[in-house]
Parts: sequence; structure tokens; C-alpha cells
Amino acid sequence: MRVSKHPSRVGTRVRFAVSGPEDHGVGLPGVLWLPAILALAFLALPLVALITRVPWATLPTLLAAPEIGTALGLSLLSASLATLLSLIFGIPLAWFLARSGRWPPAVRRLLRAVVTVPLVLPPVVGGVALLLLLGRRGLIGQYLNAWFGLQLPFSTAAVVIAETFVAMPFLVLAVEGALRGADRRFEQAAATLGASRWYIFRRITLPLIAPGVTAGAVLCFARALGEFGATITFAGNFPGTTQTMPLAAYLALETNPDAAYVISLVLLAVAITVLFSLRERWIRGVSA
Amino acid sequence: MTGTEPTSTEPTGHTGLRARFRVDRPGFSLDLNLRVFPGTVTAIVGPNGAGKSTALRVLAGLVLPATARVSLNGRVLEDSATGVWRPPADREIGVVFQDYLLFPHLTARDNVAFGLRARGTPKARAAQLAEDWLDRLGIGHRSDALPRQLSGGQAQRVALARALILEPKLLLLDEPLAAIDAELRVAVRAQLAESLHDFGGATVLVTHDPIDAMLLADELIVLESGRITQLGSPLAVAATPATDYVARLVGLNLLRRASGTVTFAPPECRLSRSQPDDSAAVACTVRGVEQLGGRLRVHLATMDTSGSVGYDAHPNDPAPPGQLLIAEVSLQSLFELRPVAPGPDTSAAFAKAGLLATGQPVWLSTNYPDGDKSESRES
Repeated sequence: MRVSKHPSRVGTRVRFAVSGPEDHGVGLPGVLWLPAILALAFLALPLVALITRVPWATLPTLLAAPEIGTALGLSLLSASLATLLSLIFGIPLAWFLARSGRWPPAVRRLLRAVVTVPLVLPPVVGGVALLLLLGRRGLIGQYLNAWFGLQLPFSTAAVVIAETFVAMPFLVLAVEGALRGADRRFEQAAATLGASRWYIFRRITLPLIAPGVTAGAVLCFARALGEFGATITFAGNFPGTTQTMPLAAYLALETNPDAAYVISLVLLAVAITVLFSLRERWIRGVSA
Repeated sequence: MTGTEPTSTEPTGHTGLRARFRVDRPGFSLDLNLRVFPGTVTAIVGPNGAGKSTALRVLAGLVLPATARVSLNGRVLEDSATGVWRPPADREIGVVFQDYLLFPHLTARDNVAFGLRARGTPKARAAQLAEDWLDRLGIGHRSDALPRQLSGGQAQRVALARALILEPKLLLLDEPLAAIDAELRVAVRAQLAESLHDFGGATVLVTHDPIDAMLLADELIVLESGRITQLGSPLAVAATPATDYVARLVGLNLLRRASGTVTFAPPECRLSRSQPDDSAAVACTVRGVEQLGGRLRVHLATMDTSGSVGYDAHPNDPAPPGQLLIAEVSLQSLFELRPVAPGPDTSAAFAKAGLLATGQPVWLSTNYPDGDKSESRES
């Protein structure tokens, strides 16, 4: 054994020994530390900046201001309606996806793609697409207009539709996961007890997947609440009718920055609440 | 043996369950023919993968067989010839599933009332009837409990009440005692036997446990690899096992020889190191030794003695090689063979001494003290 001539180098050997005893020797290479820390800071610092710039002293008055209050009310209403619509239509769709085991794989892939597209599609594109479907001269919109005099774009209904389009996939995928994880033998047990399919669905299937439905609804609500691109494209930006909180924050940034900060803080608070309420439910719902 | 009807005296009319069906799966097929009279219990026993649970699921309408004709009290439940198939809800059956499958979000009372509610019985009336059934099975005090709060025995009785409240004509039980702890098994089994005795319909029970089958059933059907290998009363099956599986199930050995099949219990034999005078002794090799209280349980396999010098003692009555047998011998009888100092782990000491080392040849005499020699059966 040779005595080291460079005692100072002893330190370099242990400098990055942050790995646990079980992965000794294959821990994080030193060269990756800096980018990891930078990435973390990049994600966290904007939120810190936002919180430091919130005018805490005038917060209550700003929150009570009519333009913010209106936007908040409209946001909560439209996001709630979008979540409700997603539940009514999304749970049956999730059921078809989860129980389509006997369908040809190509059909299942296509179904899944259709459901997943709104998740990856730029929301503005979603808004344009909705306009082309439901607009005054749209694929369906022209008939709605001609037969019923119905004009969806630039109305509160359009906000709800845009939010539903963007947010429903979250609910569908969460519920589908819960349905796949649910023990189907309970449904068979119910069938031997004389229950109809509808009765089984209501009294057995739905309660069994309740955690997954809750998780999906919370995610769906959060996504709907933050919706911007599809809403402004399809519904426009009319205070009181279609101006939701994200739109109001964007506009207020030029005229009344303090109001923009407050709205952003409210949305951040909602997001954090969602995150915490999901921590348990998400895991349980998917594995239930 | 498939196609053989149980030999019990048949009441007049088409009462009870008549079922004949075939299920085809890749690498497996199940062919079953059974007849269960009202007020009697038929147990289907067999090793894992024999198709027992599948058979029960066919009767329940949860598995679609390749061909089938199933009727209950003269009413056709399914007939592949005419295309009749009744869904589970329309079969007048009650099923107690393995693990019971109590609905986890409903109380014991609501679980029991579920079937009545699903058929439109008003809530209060269904709850009252459910209470009555829980009382009848001795668990009325647990009616507000959720399934996860129930013990195994309580859960089993809730599952039984849930099935019986609909007054089914056929009760199907899938491993009803598998989830019960060993120390409670005797009591729970006795209660189950009582409930089954009170039930007036036909019962089909699936179990891998021979004791459950023997104590609960009037008729046994032994199912191996999707085929019936033996059927009859528990007593008859236990007395005359037809296959190695049944023999092991009832704790007996089957030894096939040219002159016929010999059935004997593990203690009814003797081991010796050198060839005994007994001309019926069989050459075996030791495959393993367990200690059972003051006795040793020796696992043996018959040896291929053809051409081996010194092992051609019974040329007129050979035993095909490779048959697995179990012998139980007292430690004393082994001490006589080769005395060794008894220690805390005697079997290890014997193994060390080379007396019962794995692979060692021994002679098995089966007519000791009173080995039962039964007539030849083909299987």
C-alpha cells in the first residue's frame, strides 16, 4: 500500500458520496448536480417571485373588486359545469375504454388516441377546432344557427365547452385506470344476486371506483380552472360573460398589475390545494 | 369415467340439478356431468388447476361453456343445442365466492339485502329480512359492520346469508373455508354444515380440502385435469381410492402390482434394509424423511429392479417403478435396524448414519400389521 503524496486529494473521493449504502459507487455523477439544482430553482423561483410581489396589504380590497370577483365567480361556475359535464359523459367513455377488451386492438388504439389528443394538443388549436365545429358557419354550428338561432361562440356556454374539451381527458384517463384496477368479481357477485347491469353499475362499480372518480374530477376541475388558450379562441374575452381568471390576469397585467398578481395567487392556491388533495387519492384511486 | 351418473336412489321427477358441460381452453378442457338432488351436498374435490372453480362458474352462468345442458328442477338454465342461456340473475342460484366478495362499501346488512333491493324489494322490508337472516346465522350483532371489520367466519356467514336470502334452488360454494384460520376451522365448518343441512335446495361445493369435502358432502366428485376420476359417497371414496391423488387425499397409498392394486395406510407397513422373507416386499428408494411426533414419515419411490442383481425377488408380481409411496414407521423399529444414539433431531441423525439417506434402497413390506389388499381396479 502506497502512502498518498497528495493528502488533499483524499477529499475529492468522498465529495459526491451522497448515495445510500445500497447504491454505493453508482450515485449521481458530480457533473449532473449543477443542472439539477438549476432546474429545481427554475421551477420554484417564479412562484417565489409571485408570492413576494403580491400586495398583501391591499389583498382583501383587490379580491373584492368587481372585475376580479366577476372573473372568479365565472371561473368557478364554468369550471364546475365543465367538471360536471366531464363526469356525465366521461365516466361512460372511460367505461367503454376500460371494458373494450374484446374489441379489435386497432379500434382500441384509435379510441385511446381520440381521448388523449386534447391532452397534447395546444389549447389554441382546440379553440380553433371548436370554432370550426360549433362556430356560426361551423360543421354543426351552421345548423344550430339556422334551426335554433343558437350561437355558441363568445358565450359563457362556449367557455364551458372549451374547458370541457381540454379537461375531460384527465377525468376519462383517471376513471379508466380505476375501472381497470377494480375487481370485476364484485360485479359478478352482484349479477348472481339478480342485479341488472345498470343497478350493478350504480351500486357496485361506481362506489368501488369512487376514489378514482374523485381524483379525476379534481384534476379535471383544476385543468378547467386554468384554461386559457381554447377559451380565448373559442369564447373570447368579454368581462362578465367569458372572461375567466386566467384571461383576467393576462389582461390586468397591462392595466392593473396588482390585480394580476392577486388573481395569479388565487390560482396558485387552488393548484396547491389540488396537489395536496390528490396526493392520497390519486394513488389510491388508480390502485383501487 | 366421465358420463357415469351417481348411483344414489333417484327421486321421481326432474328435481335438483342436472348438468353436463364441456369447457375448452388452450391446453385445458373440462368435461363434467353431475346430478345433485335437493337437500343434498355434492363436493367437487381436486388438485389446483383441475377445473373446480371453472365448473362452479359455468353453473353460475359466469363462464360460457363450449357445449352444455344444465337444468335446475326441470327448468333449463342453458342448452347449447337449442341456444338457451339464462344469465346469472335468472338462474335461482346463490353463490358463495372464494374470499366471499362482500361488497366492501356496504354494511353486512346491506350486503345481505343487496339481492332483494336489486329485485325491487322496498328498503325497509329488505333490511328487516336481512336482519332476520343475520340473526338466524348468529351474527345479527354485526349487521352494521363493514366487511373489513368482520372476521373470516363472520364474513363467510354474511356471504351465506346474502346468497340464501333469495331462496335459491341451487347453492354454489367456492372454497368456503379456505379463508378461515386453522384454529377456527372446526367451529366454522360445523356451522356451515348446519346451515347446509337446513338448506332445502341442491348444493355444490368446491374444495381442495378433503376433510371439508368428507364432512360437508353427501356425494364426492373427484376432478383431476378436467375429468371426473372418481365419484361416490365420502365413505366409499375414502375406502377405495381410484387414483394416486384420491389415495393421497385420504392419506392412503396405492401400490400397483401385476397381481392388482394394493391400498394401505402409511403406518401399515414395515421397512427393512435387507430383503425380508416376505415374498411380497417391494424394493424402493428413499426420497425424503420427515419426523412426525415419535414417528418417521418416509417418502419412497418404487425401484426399477429389472436386471438388478439381488432385487429380483418377485418376478411374478412386479411393481412398476416410480410409484410414490409414504411409509410411517416408529423410531423404535428403526433403532432395531441400526441402533444409533437418539438425539434432539433424530431424522437428521438417521440421515447422517446413512440409514435413510435419500436414494438409499429399502424393502417395503405392505402386509404389516394388516395391510388391506383390495381387488384390482383399472384407472
